[in-house]
Amino acid sequence: MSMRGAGRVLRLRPSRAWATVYPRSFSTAGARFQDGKSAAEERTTHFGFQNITESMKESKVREVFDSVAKNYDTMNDVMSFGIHRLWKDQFVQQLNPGKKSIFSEPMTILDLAGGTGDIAFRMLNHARTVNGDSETRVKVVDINEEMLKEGVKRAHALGYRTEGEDAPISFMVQNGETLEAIPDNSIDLLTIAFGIRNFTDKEKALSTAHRVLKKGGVFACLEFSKVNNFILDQIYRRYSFSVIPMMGQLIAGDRDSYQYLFPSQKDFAGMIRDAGFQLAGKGWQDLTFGVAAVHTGVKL
Amino acid sequence: MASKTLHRTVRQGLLGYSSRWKLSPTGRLLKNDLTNSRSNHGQSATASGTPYTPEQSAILSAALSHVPTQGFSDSTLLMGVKDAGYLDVTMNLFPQGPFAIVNYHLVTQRERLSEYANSDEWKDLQASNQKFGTTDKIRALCVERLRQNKAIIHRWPEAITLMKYPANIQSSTSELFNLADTMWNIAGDTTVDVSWYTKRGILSGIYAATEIYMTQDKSDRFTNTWAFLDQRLADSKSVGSTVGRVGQYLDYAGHNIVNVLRSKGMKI
Repeated sequence: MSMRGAGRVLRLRPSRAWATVYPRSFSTAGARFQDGKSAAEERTTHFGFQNITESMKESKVREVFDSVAKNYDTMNDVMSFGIHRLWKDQFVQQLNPGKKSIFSEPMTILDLAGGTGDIAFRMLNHARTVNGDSETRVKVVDINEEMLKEGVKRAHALGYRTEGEDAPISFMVQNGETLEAIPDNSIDLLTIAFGIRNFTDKEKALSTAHRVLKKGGVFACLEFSKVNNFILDQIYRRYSFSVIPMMGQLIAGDRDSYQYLFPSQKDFAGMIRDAGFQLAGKGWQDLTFGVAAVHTGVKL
Repeated sequence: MASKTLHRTVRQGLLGYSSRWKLSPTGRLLKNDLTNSRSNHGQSATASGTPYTPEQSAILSAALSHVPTQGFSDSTLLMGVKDAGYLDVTMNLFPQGPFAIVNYHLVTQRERLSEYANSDEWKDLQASNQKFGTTDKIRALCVERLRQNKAIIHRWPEAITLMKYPANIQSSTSELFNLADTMWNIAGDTTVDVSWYTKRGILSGIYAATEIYMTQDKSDRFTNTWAFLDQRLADSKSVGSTVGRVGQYLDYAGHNIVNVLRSKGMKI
C-alpha cells in the first residue's frame, strides 16, 4: 500500500479547512522534515479533504512534487488557462524589486517555496530591465530537491550563474518553516507564490519570515483565495471542485488531491499581522475577483 | 401592536423620520437619543485618532517635507522611506503610492483643525468678536485650513490629479466630507434635520472650489482666495435656505398625501 493509502487509513474526519495539495500547486512547498515520532501521538493536518499526520504531509508533499517537477508549468497552464503567468507578472511588477537609486543597496530577495524559479527569474528580469539593477540577488529556497534541480537547469539555460557568493541566483534546499541557513535580519524581500498552503504550520512559517527579514523588509504572498462575488464564486466552485479534480485524475491519476479550500483574505491578513508585520493598506489585493490574492506585510 | 410598528415603518419609508414620531411616547427613538447619536457620529470622524502607525507617520511626514521641491511622486515617497531609515522595498507599505502622501496631509491637517478649535487663538477670536456667527466661524476655519496648504500650493495640482484617480476618489471624497463635518462640529452645529447633509455637502463644494482657486492665486497673501471664499459663502446662504425650503415643502406635501389617503379610509 502506498503512502496515500496509509493517509486514508489514518483519516480522522473529512475536513473542509484550508487544506491542500499537490499538483495543483503552482509552486512547491517547504514542509517540515520527518521527526520520527509515532503516528499515533502526532498532531494531524490537512491534505486535500483528508486529515493526515503532520509528518505524513511532509513526505506526501515531497513525493508528489518529485513526480511533477518537469511538467510543472504545463500543468499550471492547463489548469489556470495560463492566467497564473499574469498573476505572477503582476505580483513581481507590484513589488518592484531592484534598487531605485544610486544611493540604495541592491536587494537580497528570498523566494520561499520557489521551486523551479519562475518567480525568481521574473524578479531578476524586473530588477535589471526596469530598475537597471544587476546586483540584486535572489535566493531560491525549497524543500524539494527535484524542483530545485529543474530550477538550476532553467537558470543555466537563461545564462545565470548559480554558484559562488555573488551569483545572481542561488538554489538551496531548506525547510521553509525554520530556514536554518538564513541569518536573522538579512533579507529585503521574502516572497512565496502558491506555496504557503503546503506548509504544515503556517504561523511558524510567518514568524520565521519575520525573523529573516531586515527592518523595513517586505513579506509578500501570492496564493489562491476566496472569490468575493457570489455569482462568480458559484462558477469558480464548480470549476475548482469538479473540473480541476477531473483533470487531476486524467493527468496525474489522482482525484482527491485536487480538492482544497483557502482561508479568506481577511483571515490570512490577520495571521500576517499576528506574526508581527504591519499590513500594507488593508493587507491584500485581489487578483481575478479573488481567485488569487497578494498579501503584503512589512516588518517595521 | 405589530400593525402599528408596520405603519410606522411604512411612514418612515415614505417620508423619513419626522419629529412627531421621534417624540411619540411609543416610539423607540426619542429626540435626545437621536441628537446624541448624531453628534457622536460627527465627533467620531474627528476624534477617532490617527489611522497611521508611528512608523507610517515617520515615513509620510518625511516624504511631505520633500513635496515643495519634489512634488507628489514615487521618488518623494522613496525619499521619505530612506529618511526614516528603511529600505527601498519598504515602499510596498503604501500600495496607493504617492497618494499616501496626499492622504496623510489631508488627514493630519483635519486633525490639526480639531486641535486648533481647542487653542487659545480660536477662543480669543470668538471672544474678541461679539457677532461671531456660524458663517464667520466656518469662514475662519476654511481660512485656517487653507493656510496649511501654503507651503505646497504650487504642487497641489499634482495632488488633485492623484485624488481624482478612480482608485483614490473614494478616499479623497470621504476625507473632504470628514473635513466639512469637522468644521461644522467646531462651529457648533448640532442640528440633525435634512440640512445635516446639505450643510456638509455645500461646505465640501465650497472648500474644494476655493482650494482649486488657491492653486492659481498669484495675489499677495492670497487675498483673492479669501475674497473668492467670501463670495461662495454668500452664495451658499441663498442656496442653503432654498434647499431648506424644498425640504420643508416635501415634508408638508408628504404629510398631506398621507392625510388625504387616511381620509379615504386607508389605514396608514
